[in-house]
Amino acid sequence: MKKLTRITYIEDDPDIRAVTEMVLENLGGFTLNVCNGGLSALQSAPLFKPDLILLDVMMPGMDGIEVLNKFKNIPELAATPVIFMTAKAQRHEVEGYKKLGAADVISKPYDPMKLVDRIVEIWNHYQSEKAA
Amino acid sequence: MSHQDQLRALIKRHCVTLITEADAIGTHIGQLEDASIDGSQAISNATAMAHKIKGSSGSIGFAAISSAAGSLESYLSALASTGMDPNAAQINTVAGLFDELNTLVRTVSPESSTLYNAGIPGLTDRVTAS
Repeated sequence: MKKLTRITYIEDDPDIRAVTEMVLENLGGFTLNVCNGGLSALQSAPLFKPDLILLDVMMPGMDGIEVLNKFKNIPELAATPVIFMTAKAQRHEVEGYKKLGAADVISKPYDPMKLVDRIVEIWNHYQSEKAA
Repeated sequence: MSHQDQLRALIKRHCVTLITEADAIGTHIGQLEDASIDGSQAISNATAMAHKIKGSSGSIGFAAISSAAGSLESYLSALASTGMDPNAAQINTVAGLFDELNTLVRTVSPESSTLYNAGIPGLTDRVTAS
């Protein structure tokens, strides 16, 4: 199973972005490409070539769904799993995100101290399904 | 500066941000009583800000603030879905929910965040633990 090492993380809220970046780096030991919005992610993520993308849904300008759709048309990112991070995560909304192509959804607010374990759990599940 | 110190600085900054954001909600809600201003836009703006606080404060260890912001967001969303201007009773309810949130925001201390003393171990600790 491929090890998760490189993550592109896209979040417009500076405080959530800072605390999440801190735990992903220091608890998870991941190499990060941190972006404050869809536009910067579209520029930097294809060069960074992440294993996984963490994508905020509600962002000004280009929202997460639009960003995901654009990622699908970028060869370097088309097969990269995307986890949506959103406060709109009722069951029907989660199912809707998965139909759009999200690998899974992490509900906001989340406990940053448990975030790495949740991401690894989703990653392992995704890899198992891919291998099956 | 240690990771924990960085986290505490972030929590302190967030407490200041919360006051600014609560002030913005207060401005939008105040506009609901002004007939010359588009009420639906005021509700939309207040809803977006309450949504932002719900997500950010909860992820920075302030569950009560997140919950209060979520209650305000839910009520405002329900109001918006009617497509009608809110009546006096509905505006009072909005004001009450906002007061609850505003009081929490203005009395919160950084030390009350669940992350303040959470401790972020270094990468070595993490590898050893797993």
